[in-house]
Amino acid sequence: MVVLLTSDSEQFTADKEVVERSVLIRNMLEDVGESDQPIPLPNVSSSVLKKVLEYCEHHRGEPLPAADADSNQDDTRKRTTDISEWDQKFINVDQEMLFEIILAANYLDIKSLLDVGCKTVANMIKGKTPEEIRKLFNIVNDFTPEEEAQIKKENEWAEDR
Amino acid sequence: MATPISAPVKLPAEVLENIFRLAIGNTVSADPTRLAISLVCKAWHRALYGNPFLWSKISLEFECAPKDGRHWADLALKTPNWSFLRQALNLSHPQLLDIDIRFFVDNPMFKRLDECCQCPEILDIFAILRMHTVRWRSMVLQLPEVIISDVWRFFTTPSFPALERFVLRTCDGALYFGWPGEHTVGPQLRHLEINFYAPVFVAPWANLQILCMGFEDPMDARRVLVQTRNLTALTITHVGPTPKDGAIDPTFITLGSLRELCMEDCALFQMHGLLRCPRLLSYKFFGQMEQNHHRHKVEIICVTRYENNFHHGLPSEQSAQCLIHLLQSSRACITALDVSHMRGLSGLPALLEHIGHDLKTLIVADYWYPEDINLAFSTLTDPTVVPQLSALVLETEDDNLSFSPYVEQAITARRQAGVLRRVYIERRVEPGSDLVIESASSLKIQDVYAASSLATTLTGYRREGLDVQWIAGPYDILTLARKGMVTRF
Repeated sequence: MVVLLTSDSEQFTADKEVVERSVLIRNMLEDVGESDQPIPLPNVSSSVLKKVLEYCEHHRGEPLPAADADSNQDDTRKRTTDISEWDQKFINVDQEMLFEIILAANYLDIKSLLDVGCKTVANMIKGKTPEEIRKLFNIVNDFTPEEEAQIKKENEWAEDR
Repeated sequence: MATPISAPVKLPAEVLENIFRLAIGNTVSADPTRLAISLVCKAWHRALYGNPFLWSKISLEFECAPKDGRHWADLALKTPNWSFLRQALNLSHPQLLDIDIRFFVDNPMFKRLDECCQCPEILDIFAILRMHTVRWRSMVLQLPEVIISDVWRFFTTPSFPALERFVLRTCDGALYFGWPGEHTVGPQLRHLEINFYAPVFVAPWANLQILCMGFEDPMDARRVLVQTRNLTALTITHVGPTPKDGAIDPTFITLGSLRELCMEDCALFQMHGLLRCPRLLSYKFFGQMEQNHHRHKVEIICVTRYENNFHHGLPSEQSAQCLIHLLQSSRACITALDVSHMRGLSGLPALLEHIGHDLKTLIVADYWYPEDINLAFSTLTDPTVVPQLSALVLETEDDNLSFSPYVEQAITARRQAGVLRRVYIERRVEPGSDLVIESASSLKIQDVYAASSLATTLTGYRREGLDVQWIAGPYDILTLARKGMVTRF
């Protein structure tokens, strides 16, 4: 069993096989060897780590994706944003938690979880107008009208459909 | 405490890049989402425009469509929007380029191919692409042969120092095309695929890892294959017969690193006695390729002198014997076999008996009569035949496989033997077409499948942890069966 210490000082205990889905933790365990000391995770809060462990537990034993699995895709034409049924339910959280999970997956280096988070955000973006995207993610439009017009002019091809 | 405000803006650059790639697809195309992303805010604009990788994969698809939008008897070529090309090439600098240009013009209604495929834009596109040949990393071209002759001049003089992958496919019934002179493709080339006879290519054969090619005769095949050193995957689309006055060199051609082999029937027939592939792990029957160079069509007919009820090519028993000979003389123990394009399954029992001991994966498609399928799967009901079979993949375009009682019996017997781990059944359906059995009062096929004994059996195995999937078009049959979302018959 491995003990993990979150940024808000909460301790979690989990099977080595489960936490080793994180490349960061796996490397730490390899470096320090067997130890009773908790592994500090200063970038992950307890609420987020709980979700991350839930994901790792569900996918326990599955083969880990190769680090360059996407960049070496044989067919460059397709890139799917399909998400499995269980993963969809898992990632159906509020936006704050969604981005916290993405940041945690990136920090902990859990590629499959990062993929699920990124695919979810990508699906939220697809087919929307800039204004709809800003509204969805509460992003401020910092372009001047002139800059906006210039970008549209440079990209007339994208509107020619 | 993180704030939800502008959370996506604060993501690390590589994560934002990944999200953008997923949202706009893996290639540059005239996609409004790309423009939308660039207009959201300055940070997103910088992330999109400042990343050459997001502009380095270019895909253009040409399709034929009815001129008036309705009548498929009068088709015209529909050119995609490619006005982004210059901008993409500039923004992608200095990233290497992956370019994919495909024509989808194999509609049987598309009779006047030469006339309809007049496409002056393709010359403009290649004129632009030619200025960046030093950055070509992957070039995939699927073109009507009339277009290949048009664009070929763009390949004659430039060098391709970074080209790792070159795929050139004809997508229509190819006519003879006179290839002028020899052409050397890049020193970095690792993957060469040409689906018709094109002897003018000179590749760095010793470096190639993946090769798909046709050969005029066994001597021509020998000339190329003896130069390869690192091939891991080989597809031979054609080998014509040795000329009557030609001498046969009986020396074996040993491909020591080859793992995957796929041959058209005529190539299997001509080469099985010459090739030695001691490390081969997977073999795939190719059947007869659909697009043959017209010179080869004459020679394909030579192969069809053998009796065959369905298509051109070797009868099942003979192709099985050729493969058995190839594998046994190579002392190879394959673990994966794809018999989807054998000409019938009557040769399969002998094949499995002789080379099935190490086989773990069997891929079968159902182009055959029910008696063929029953013969093959009744063999598989004996778990001592192919004792290590752990994955069964059935890809179907009609329902003979799904309705054969032997399929369920074979799966059950192998499950009980404790070796089978995965069953994948896919009934392929054209998008938009109905899954209906006309002969059965127009029952919906997904309902019939879901109510079948096979679905009940597979649902039970899925519960026990077997990796089981049964897909029919958009439907997950076992989910339908589990939820009881069907009318029982």
